[in-house]
Amino acid sequence: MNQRLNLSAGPHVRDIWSTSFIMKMVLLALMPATVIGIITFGLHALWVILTSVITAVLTELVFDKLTGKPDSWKDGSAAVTGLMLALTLSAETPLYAPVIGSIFAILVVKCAFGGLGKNFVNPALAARCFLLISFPNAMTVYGIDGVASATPCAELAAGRVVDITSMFLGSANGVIGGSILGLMIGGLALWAFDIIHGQICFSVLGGFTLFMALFGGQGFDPGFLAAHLCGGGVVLGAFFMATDYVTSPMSRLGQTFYGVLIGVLGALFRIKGQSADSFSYSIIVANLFVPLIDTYIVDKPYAFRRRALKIRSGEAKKPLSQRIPKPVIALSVIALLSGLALSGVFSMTKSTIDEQKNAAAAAAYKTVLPEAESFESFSDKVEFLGGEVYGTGYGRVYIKDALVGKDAAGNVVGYAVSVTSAEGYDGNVTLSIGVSTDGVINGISFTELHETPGKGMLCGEPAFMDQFAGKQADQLTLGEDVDGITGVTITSKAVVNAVNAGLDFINTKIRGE
Amino acid sequence: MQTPSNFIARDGTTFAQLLEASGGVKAGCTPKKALSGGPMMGVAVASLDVPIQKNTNALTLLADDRVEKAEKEMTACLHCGRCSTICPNGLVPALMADAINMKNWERYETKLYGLECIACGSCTYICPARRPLTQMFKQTKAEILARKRAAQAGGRK
Repeated sequence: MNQRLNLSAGPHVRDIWSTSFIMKMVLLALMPATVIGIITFGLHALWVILTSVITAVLTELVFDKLTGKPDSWKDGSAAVTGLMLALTLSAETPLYAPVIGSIFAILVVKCAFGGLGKNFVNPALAARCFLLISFPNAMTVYGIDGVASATPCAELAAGRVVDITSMFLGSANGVIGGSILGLMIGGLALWAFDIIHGQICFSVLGGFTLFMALFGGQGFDPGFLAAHLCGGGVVLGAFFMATDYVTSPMSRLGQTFYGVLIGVLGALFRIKGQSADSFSYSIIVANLFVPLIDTYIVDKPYAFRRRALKIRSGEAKKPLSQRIPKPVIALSVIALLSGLALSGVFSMTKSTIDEQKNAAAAAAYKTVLPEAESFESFSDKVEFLGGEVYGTGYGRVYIKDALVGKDAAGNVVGYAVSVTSAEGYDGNVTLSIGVSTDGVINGISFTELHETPGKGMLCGEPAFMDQFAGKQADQLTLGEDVDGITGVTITSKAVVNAVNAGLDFINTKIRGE
Repeated sequence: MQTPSNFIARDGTTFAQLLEASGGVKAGCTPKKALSGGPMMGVAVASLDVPIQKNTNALTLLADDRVEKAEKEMTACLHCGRCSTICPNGLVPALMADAINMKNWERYETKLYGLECIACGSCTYICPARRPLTQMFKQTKAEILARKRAAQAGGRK
């Protein structure tokens, strides 16, 4: 026994769980959702997934070779990023999107910041948001077998009822990884095997549900809450995105705080922002808070917890200014100042904006009733204007203004109404309708339309708008009198509903008397 | 070894004698590493001709040096937090390692309670990135304590 034995500091054994083993488990956990996605959306979904994964791994491989870094492409983290990105894409996405997205995720978000373990936000989500901003058209084509329709989340934002069962199974329109069933299987398995931290995913879901119930406007209605939980990537986000190791805090307390932050932000963005992608953004915003959380929120070791309790109970209380970390104070002050500055600018410019709006409205009236020299307002019908939703069957439609157009001699040449529909894809759609005395539509003109470029904005193009001119009908039907724009269901509907409400208003309230 | 056994032995008995008494090494195996103590907190010994002392509790032979392999497998910290879930003392080893890398001794000591580490080795065992956490903490703790002692000694003069 004279040969030299190996020397090293203990411990001398290691767990079998390695980085690549964990990454493989995450890949495995994503499989149910992936398979269901491919079955539901067909072969193109498979191509999207394969393109995304292969590009991600290749990008990392090339980067490793060029920079002489250790072979980090082998550990599977790039494949996880690629797969997660693909699952957040629509099955109809053209193949260049996952390629660009994966390259962005790996090269810019991950490798440029120091590779594995150093990325500052979740690479897959950052890439998704990058694609959403860069290619709004290609990214928002949702549908099965080429039949375009609005996503459940967009329907939900517009206040309509959605089919929760199909959302749960993943057959509803949406992203490839939209199957709540598949995601739940994978996510709960990961949690059961302690790969993801329960305090993150459940505080995300809890925070989201609670905030939605309190401020969502529909209380604790189970159907409403379930629909919101099943839609828009809440489950994918809670189980797979928020729990991303690198971009989540380390301590249990910090993780809970971070989870609640994501849930509340996601719900807030969804209620106020009316955007289907609220959850991606809320996770990214919370990711940015992680270094701050990790710096200031750290669990106390067992030996120190009782002493902390003593301080809390008042035996040794520090002044408030010392207990709140300085950066928090600084950030709050900055937030307060920028808020004040914004509201100041708003109030200073409000009168100018209103003038501009009035000028735009006057111009719009002129467009839809070119023969009229002057307009008189319908002051006696004022009870119909503003506030209340007009009529039934038009959705959330409001009559803003109603005018009688007169020519130089003072004869009535037509009527103009300004109607707002609150059911646009991205907020309000306001338009003016001009109708001549015999009931023929002169034309429509938008005063407020800020829909998706290349999608909802197409409603503002002559090809769509000119369809209304010359029609003489009490009510118009989408698809018969007016051809909707493919893939722009919501905006087309909102416009036709607004026009119908305007026509009804003119026929019954103005001409009828 | 052939048959794991318990012995009551005098101080000064060598490990080699103990091994012989237990029946020697299992056939076909060559020990790569010998530990005075268990696999987690045991200290590696260079040869078996080392006498046991009153605090020696075990001799462990390893046919396979896991640490050698782990050094090759090491990747960057994922911040997975497995170390903080396993730490029996409720510390956050990954953040402590970050503080060491940034040479932020004050944060290590006061905010992260780094001196509370008992060097049990659990974090190193569980780390999927195979980072030598316990080893870093042991060294840092010794350095900080040495510095404190030096400061105290300087103050007394």
